[in-house]
Amino acid sequence: MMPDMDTFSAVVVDGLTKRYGSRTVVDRLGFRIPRGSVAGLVGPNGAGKTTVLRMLLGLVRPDGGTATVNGVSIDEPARYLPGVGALIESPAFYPGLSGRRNLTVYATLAGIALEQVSVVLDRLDLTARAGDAYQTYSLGMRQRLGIAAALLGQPRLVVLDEPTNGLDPAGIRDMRAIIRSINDDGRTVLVTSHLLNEIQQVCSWLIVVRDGRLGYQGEIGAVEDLEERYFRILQGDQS
Amino acid sequence: MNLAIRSEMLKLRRPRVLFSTIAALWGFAVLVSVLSVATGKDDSTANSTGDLTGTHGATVGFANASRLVGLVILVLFLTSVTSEYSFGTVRILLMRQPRRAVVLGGKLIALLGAMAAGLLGALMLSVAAAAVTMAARGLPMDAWFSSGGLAHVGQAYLNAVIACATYGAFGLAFGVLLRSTVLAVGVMLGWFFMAENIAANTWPDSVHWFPGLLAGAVMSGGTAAVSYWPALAATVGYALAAVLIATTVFTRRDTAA
Repeated sequence: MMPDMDTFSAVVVDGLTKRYGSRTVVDRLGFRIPRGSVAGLVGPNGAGKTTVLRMLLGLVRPDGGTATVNGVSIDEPARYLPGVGALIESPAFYPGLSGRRNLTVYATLAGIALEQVSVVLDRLDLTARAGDAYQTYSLGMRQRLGIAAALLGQPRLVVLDEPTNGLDPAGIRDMRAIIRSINDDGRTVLVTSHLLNEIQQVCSWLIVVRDGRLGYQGEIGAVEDLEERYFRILQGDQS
Repeated sequence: MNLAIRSEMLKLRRPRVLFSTIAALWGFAVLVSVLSVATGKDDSTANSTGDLTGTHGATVGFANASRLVGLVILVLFLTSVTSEYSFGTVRILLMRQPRRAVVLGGKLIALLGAMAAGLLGALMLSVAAAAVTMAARGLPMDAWFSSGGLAHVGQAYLNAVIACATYGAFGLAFGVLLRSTVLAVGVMLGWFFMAENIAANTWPDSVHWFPGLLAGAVMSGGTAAVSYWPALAATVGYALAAVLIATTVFTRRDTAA
């Protein structure tokens, strides 16, 4: 990878590999995410998207390859994770605690000023229900609280794993607006989905993963007949 | 570490967790204390009236409750870990504090602090319940309030903290190892409250080796079968080993929850 490319990339992945037993889930994967972009990591279920995120977020150790996040190797998660916010897999909170108390738990652990809890709750339009137990929240509210948690600490990179999963059309529309507004703040956003259409709606940079390998990466606007090309990639046609 | 402890304390203040733990802890301590005093006879081998009216009489019931109190502490520590996996919150914790040993250490210290406070309340209530029952039976309690009696109360508290911390350490370790509340509780209860009891009745030497039996001996200030100091050394050793295993696994294992 060229040094100047690294400088302008929020994430650089090179040869990343993860095996579970004899099964290779991520196979010598390489891609980059331009700083300030909304990047979409798309691929069918089981393509290895979430495993890639887990490795980038320090939850899972790769078996091979390297990656940097905001210029820091993923071998040093304590150095780069304070600058990363993530909603991975599904929102994860303590059901009996209120939304506000849940965010306070995470903010306290990370040493983030507690004033930020109110700021992110307000931004995600959750202030009115902030005192209610998380278990009483609707799916859409849970997703928004998950994003509020990801925004704590004003991260430079925000990772959202399948953020529209299970949402109704209005919720999906709201989620797209939230993603755009996060990007408007100058943050890099990485969104995963198994639906190309979802990625097309909000992303400027596309990464296609198939069987743990890179199928394609590049600007979405530069690809003609994206949907046709996407299905060809999924069928193994790299042309 | 301070931030991890404070964060954990916020979770411990959940009303359901707090009230159910305190109710179980204090309830068992009071119940066993009342039963111990109420059923003690002159010729009893345990809880004799001689024991009850002696300098350590105030804490006889509290020591007898050791296994039940230990059970509550074990479940508290265990579920505190397994719930992080079942809620999926462990991955957020580790993203917010990538130094995994700090997350686990903060949890352990917060739980130990809560346990120490809960045990203090359990001891006070247990002694109060024992005193009421003694008064109802017309048994003298002068020795309880002598300097030797008060020293025994302090010693009983320290022993309870050490013994319960050992149960807690096992709860923490098996919570980390198994990650499932049902599985971990099943294994722990099966071991501490079935296997060890069977072993104690069939193999007398088991009291020198099994952690639950040793912790019980510590809480009782030593028994006829195993004296205090060897039991204390072995118990502390088991607790440290459990924490070491938990930390090693927690810091090294992939987190896919």
